[in-house]
Amino acid sequence: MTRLLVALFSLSFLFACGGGDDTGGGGGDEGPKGGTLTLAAVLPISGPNAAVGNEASDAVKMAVEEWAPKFAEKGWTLKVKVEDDASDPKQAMSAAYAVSGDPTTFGVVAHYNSGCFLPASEVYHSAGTMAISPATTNVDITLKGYPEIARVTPHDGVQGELTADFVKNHLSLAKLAVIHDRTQYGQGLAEVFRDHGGTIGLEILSFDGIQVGDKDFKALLTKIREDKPEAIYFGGLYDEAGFLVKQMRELGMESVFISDDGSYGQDFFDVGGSATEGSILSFPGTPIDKLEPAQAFLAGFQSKYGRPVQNYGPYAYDAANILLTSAMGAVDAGADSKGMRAAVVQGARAIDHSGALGQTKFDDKGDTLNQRYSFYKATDGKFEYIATFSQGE
Amino acid sequence: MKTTAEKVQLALGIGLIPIAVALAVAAIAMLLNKPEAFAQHLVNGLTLGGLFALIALGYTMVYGIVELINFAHGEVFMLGSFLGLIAVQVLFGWDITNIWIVLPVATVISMIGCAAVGVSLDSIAYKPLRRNPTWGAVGAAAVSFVGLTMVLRAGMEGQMSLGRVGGAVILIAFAWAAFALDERNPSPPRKTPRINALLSAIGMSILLQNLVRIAVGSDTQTFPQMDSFTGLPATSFTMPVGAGGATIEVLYIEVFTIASAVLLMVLLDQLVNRTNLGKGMRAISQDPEAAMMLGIPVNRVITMTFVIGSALAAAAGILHGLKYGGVKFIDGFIIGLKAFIAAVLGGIGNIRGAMLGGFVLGLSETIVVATMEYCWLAIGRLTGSPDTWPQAEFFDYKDVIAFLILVVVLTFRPWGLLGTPEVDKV
Repeated sequence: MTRLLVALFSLSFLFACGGGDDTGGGGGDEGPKGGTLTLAAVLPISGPNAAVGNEASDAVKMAVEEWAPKFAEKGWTLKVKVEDDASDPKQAMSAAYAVSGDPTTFGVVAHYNSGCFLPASEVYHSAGTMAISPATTNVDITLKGYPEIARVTPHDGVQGELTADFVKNHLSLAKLAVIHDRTQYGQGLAEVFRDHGGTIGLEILSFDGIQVGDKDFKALLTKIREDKPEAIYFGGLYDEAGFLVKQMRELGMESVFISDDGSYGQDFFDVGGSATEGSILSFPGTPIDKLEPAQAFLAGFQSKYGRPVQNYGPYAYDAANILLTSAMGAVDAGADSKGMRAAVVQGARAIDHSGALGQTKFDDKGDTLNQRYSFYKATDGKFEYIATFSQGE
Repeated sequence: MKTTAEKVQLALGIGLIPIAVALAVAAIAMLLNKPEAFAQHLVNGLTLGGLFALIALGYTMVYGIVELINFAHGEVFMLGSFLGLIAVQVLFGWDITNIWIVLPVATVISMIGCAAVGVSLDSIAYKPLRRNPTWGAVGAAAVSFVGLTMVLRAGMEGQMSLGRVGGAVILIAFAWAAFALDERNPSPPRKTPRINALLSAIGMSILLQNLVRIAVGSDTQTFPQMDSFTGLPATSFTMPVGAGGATIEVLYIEVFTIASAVLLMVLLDQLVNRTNLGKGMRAISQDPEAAMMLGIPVNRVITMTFVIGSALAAAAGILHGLKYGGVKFIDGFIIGLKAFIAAVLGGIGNIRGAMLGGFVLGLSETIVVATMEYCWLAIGRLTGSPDTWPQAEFFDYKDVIAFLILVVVLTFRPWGLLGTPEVDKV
């Protein structure tokens, strides 16, 4: 009993110390006006997604340089701090702790990978730091409804609905068979497609699951062939998508093959070969050369860094700008460095930002209302752009 | 007086009769009403079954002789696919694309490579459990895996580089050295718990998978398809089915797969039943000690078993690559597991059983599932309200159905379809 009490005491002592440190650090060095503000970026600077991460962090740096003079006028020094998560959830966690532990951090442009942002969002939430992701699409990230978490990319749930609309309105197809890979991602997407397709008048002939890692889908396809579908929608990843489309053609099926961003990539062609010709795939966002409001940013990036923007630069640039605009609003409202984080969270969630991606507003979960998906047709081993559609804009 | 087990068997047997009758009727009805679908499922099932059977032979031969479930056998199959791919690419690089030259050459190369891998596998993972290890042999086998890595590592573009040739030489030479060093090992056989060999096998399976993942990468590698070969007029031909003028497209690769599976099985069957080596194998599977006393070179025969099993897996690997168009480091896992089940279904240790088991499993996943669905829908029509009849997604559960068949077979014949009850080795 005594031991337990001692343990409890020492624990509470530890907590008290921890709490004390935080307030001491925050309150000590800053007056009510002026001081240092840091915009953090936690992105994959090394590892498999290093190319994307470097472009995104350069875009963040560019935004900070543009804003720094305006903050200087009001007596604040604006800084940028880039941390590497290497696309690794463990490293993402420690980077999240590092930037949140810095009392001058008012916001984070956070993570490229859903797998990193999902655990790290807990850290930002408990530290009260606004974190906006430029790239993650997993539906679960915003489901917890933390006010500190938001993203400027569309999420996977929208994809199924937009694809169903596209199939009906632009491909003018009516009879479909739906296949999924029984994963959270693939089956979830296929269910959205099926349910939304049903409400807009698509005829869903069948709904079947396959096993990831399996290669022989001929039994299932032979059955589906009997129904003579005009198209087959597949929710899943590139390997199974490639084998499916190949075996469809081997069985003499001429149905259009339609799939998702999980199938979008070179591997789809590597596996499916010439059978992929004419397949339709969806991918989040707008291709950057088609993004009207982004042209100024693209030109600025090119002249500053001497290389063109490839992919997520505009998203990171907008995420940074939303945070910086909110911080400026907080400064104008007279916030001090202690209240800065809370003020930025409030400002960012209420923002109506006109940026490189167009108009960005967040819904009550933190998802952008600017939800765009583009559709591509597989042609000669390349994805040929067809059109972009948005929802809720 | 019947035991409980016998009563359960009897009840199950009586319960199964109407199901079996319904399925048989449905199969005939399907054959008459939908000859195209029926024939297509049959072709699919036979192709799949041929692949399962070729791999199952490796499991069953090794088990029959050393009572070991070589779980790394699926990985040998995957390596066979990779080695075959490299050989095909090298030949393509030399502008040799005639299928009648490329395929036999690639198959032989892949078979030799896999045989070396099989021998090394035995030396490194299983022999040290059967008797006191010869450390030189274990070391040589390890070096041969380095050679294998060099072969795979030299890029998948298929140039004939020095590293690749050197790797192949190291692989084969050191596998041979491992075998030769162990031949002189005088220590008598020893009994180790069977679980040790099983763990050793699973460990080798993980090792080989990751060796390939690191050497080649984790992406699917494209396997040349039938249309990139010359020597065949087309990739498929039209086959009439039924009386109504219905036809199906049959791919040449499907014919190849079934034909080469059957051919290799006949050859193996002759080898086991007609040659001295086969006689040795059968003797060892009955009683290894007595075989040794009668002067049968037990070690050599065991090594030959690994060689033959691995070569068959290599052939299956190439056919698999040609059929599906891609190969990946993880490919040996699922198909290896299914082939193992095919071996159990047919009666593990029995060679003809493995062949039968492979085809039964392949057909279970295709035509039996299709017949079940047809039967279910027919019952729906008989009830008079087919629209409200619940949809049953039989094809979602093709693996479950195939395994249910396995359970039913093993309930009535625990020793498998062609196994013999007295060889109770499990």
